[in-house]
Amino acid sequence: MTVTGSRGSLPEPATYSGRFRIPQSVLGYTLILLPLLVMGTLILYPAFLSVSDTLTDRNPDGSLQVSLADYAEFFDTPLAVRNLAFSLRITAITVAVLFLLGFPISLYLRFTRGRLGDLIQSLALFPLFVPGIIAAYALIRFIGDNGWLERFLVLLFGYEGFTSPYLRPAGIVVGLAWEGISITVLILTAGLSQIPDSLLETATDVGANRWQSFWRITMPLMKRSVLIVLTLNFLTVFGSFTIPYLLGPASPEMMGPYMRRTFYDANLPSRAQVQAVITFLISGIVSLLYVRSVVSQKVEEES
Amino acid sequence: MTVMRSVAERSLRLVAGRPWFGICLLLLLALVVLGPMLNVFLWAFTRNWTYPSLLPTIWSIEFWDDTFTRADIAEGFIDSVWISLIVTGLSAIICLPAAYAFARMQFPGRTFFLLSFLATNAFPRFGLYITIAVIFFRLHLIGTVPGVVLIQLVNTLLFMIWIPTAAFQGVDRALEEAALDVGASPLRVFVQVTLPLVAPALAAALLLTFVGAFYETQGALLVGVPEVQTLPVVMIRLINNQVIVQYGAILSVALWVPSLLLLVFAQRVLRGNTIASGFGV
Amino acid sequence: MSQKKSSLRNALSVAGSLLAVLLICAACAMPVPGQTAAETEVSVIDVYIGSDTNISDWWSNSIKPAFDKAHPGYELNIIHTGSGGGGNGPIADRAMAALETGNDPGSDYFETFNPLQPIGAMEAGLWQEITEDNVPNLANVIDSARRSSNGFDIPYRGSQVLLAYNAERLLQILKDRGEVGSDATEVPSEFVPATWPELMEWICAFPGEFIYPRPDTTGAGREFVTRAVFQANGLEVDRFSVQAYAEQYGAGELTADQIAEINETHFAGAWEQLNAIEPCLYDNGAYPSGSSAETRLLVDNLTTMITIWSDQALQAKGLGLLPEQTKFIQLDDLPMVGGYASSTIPTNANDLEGALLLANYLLSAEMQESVVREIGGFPAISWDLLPSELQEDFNDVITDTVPSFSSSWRAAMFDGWYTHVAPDVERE
Repeated sequence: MTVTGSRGSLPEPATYSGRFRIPQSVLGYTLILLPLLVMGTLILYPAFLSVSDTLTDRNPDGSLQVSLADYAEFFDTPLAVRNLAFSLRITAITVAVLFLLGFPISLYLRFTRGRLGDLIQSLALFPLFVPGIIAAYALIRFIGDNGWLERFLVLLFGYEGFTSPYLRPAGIVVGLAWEGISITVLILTAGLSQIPDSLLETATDVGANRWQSFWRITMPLMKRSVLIVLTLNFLTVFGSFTIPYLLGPASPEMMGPYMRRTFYDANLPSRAQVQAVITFLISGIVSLLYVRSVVSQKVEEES
Repeated sequence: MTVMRSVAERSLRLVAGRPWFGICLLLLLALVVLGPMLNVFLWAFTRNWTYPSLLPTIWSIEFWDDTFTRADIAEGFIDSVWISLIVTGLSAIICLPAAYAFARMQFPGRTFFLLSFLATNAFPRFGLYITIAVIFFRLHLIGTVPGVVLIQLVNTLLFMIWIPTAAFQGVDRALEEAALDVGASPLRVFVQVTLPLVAPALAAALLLTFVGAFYETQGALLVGVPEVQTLPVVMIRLINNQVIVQYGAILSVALWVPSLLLLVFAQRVLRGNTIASGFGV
Repeated sequence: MSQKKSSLRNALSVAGSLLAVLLICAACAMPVPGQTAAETEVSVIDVYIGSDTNISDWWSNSIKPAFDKAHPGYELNIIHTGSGGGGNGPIADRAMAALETGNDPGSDYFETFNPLQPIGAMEAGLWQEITEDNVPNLANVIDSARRSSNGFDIPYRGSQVLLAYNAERLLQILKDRGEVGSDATEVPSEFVPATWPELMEWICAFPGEFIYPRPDTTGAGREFVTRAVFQANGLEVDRFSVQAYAEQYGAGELTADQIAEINETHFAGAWEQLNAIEPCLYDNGAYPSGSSAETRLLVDNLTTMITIWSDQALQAKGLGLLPEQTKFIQLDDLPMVGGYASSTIPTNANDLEGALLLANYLLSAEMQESVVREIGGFPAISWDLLPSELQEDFNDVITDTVPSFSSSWRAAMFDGWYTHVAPDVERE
């Protein structure tokens, strides 16, 4: 977001002619208290409670003791470990696919003006405006066995060897890539747009030296956007539910559907809690990287 | 490293400003992005569609009537609209004053608190929902409207604070001060000068929040069922368990209308960067 | 500035019209219950249907005309509240509130409702106790239907999962294999399974031609897996009651040891059978998520036989959405039965007498025949009381033995299936 105007210049309390002035910091804290409270109760407290619940065991006499037994059980359950490994693998693949698709598109959009570019931008942003649930339904019809895609391949190209990714791991990757491409392009183009034209022009000429300047100047400037896109996509995909639930195989499962099934169908809520905390821990480093890169960007903007 | 560089170099040469690349990209994107949606659109007007026909074998609109007289869809629609309105309203009441404070007031830790809302994006979403659901389970909030409203509220915080904060910061203080100088009251200045300037961004934040809540599926599925069934949850049931696939197709087409309006709206008012700012870019 | 203004106007007008459209739609979609025609001397019975549209269609088109005709002076008013969670819940809450305040509950009859809800309703006396005195036909209700009732509801139709197969496709396979002559027009009965063991044999005799969906996503999968569990337990259907579970495993969350134990003691045999057929299933065990995806496999001619809810099957067949030669079978030895839908009557109903009359009427042979013929359900009374030609027509699906399988067992079964059956499939 481009921020214009006299940001940074403080509001002058003197211009407001009030007799009793509430100190601005008190007023500020009062106004921000409510959303902080909501965040505390609905995000930090549940996360904290799950960590403490799963780390403690109740002794027969009612006292609590720290215990890793719940986690030991998780890692002793072959299915749980398999699902976790599967989730990580699908997440890694999807994040890579999204980047490899999104980067060329964004690069192209940065270099292109005119109708063609506008059209491509609209198409790339289109999935952002398709709710996940509708996307899942549409993709089932489109890529499923004997679906539209297969019919096109058979009738137009005579290609018979199509294997539907629906209900296979590839189905999850296709679905999540479809959903995630818009945000990827959006963030990367935003990142590229922060680089001045003069720097980019050196890159459009393809002499070796100019190329090096692209590599040395443009890419480092893009580092933060790239990091944000990779980490944000990781968190989104790793924490996804609808697409893997509707497009993925019965086994292995992504953590999202696995947790829901454990919580709801198998009626084992404390196991689901352990699974949830494990997803937090696994993605902890990624979360930190994400927060750090956004924070450094914001701080730079603010100052 | 050199291999990677030469691959990257070659792809850059291919990409940069070549019309044929653009046309290929356009066609590919059109197929992949629009294909599934068009397919669903056709299904909504289909009676029978046997393999391997490319178009429906028998066209029909007979299922439209059935779809909209289904009580679960009608009820789900009402639930969804109310819940989304409540979530949007609640989120606005909670967040907009805070956004104003973040933009206009100076207090220690301002930047830290503003950035702390990133926490909403820093957890894998479904894991977070599970931990919330465990608490709701103990509080008997599972299967209640308040439960669904609260879980959907989580998603709205970042957008509802960051987008308006940026908008308030963007207002030129000179305009306000000029109005104050000619003797207008602070309230009047706010309503007549500040508000109109931030209105597009506020409208965008409200609309994004409303549409986001309207289509939110996983939270509603986890804490809403079986008593509260929003439209996306009904849709999951139709996708999974309705033998007549046309219901799902018709509902998809109908459900998508608000989103389409948002798309139109977005092109007029939102620049892509407004949305990107909600993700911390 | 002017550009800003116009974009503001655009923004507000689009946002405004979007909200207006939504609100208007919400207003028109609001159901209008309790519209009663009071000009004549008839007493109107408000019936709330909390099931899918095929059930409310059946009430409007079959039961209402028959009842109105059989009982002049009464008229049914059918109000559809929809399947799924919400359904009749709010109406029952209203009746409960009315009981406390003495107001008009606005309802006489709940087509499907659990008398244990709303919380406190039983203690407050909201639901009418059903006995053979006030509903004489209750005497004919079979034991397996009564078992699911607590005496304050009327089980009146059973739901079942059937096997549906595409006879045309099966015949073609048999012709290709030379098992039948190329001029054969019908599938000989020895190629159609009638019992569970025959079904297991059939599945591997025709690899890739059978599929069932994931058990937690639809009853069509759940009842199939439940049936495997019964088979592995010598068809001792009473082993899986609520009480049996509570005695063995209590009410809390299962421990890891209990999970292992429950699978070993009760489910191991079922997992063995289901694992044995897995390589013979469609696409080596591409378990679809839900009956919609499963039915597509039959409709798109990708497989021959699936499991399917009877009411959905009949509805889809009636609309011509299934292959023309689709036939249905139920297992002879023990059917795949989901359970019974039970009606409830609030004690503060406007016309309690009429509501009880309706309950009795639904349990008559005539209406029970309608359950079988029109919605593909199971009767709640013995087949012996139904016309003999009906018994002949539905010979393949007849049984009076309906097993019970409580929800606590189900949770453990779902988990066991995902742990012991599904992971053996490698689908890359």
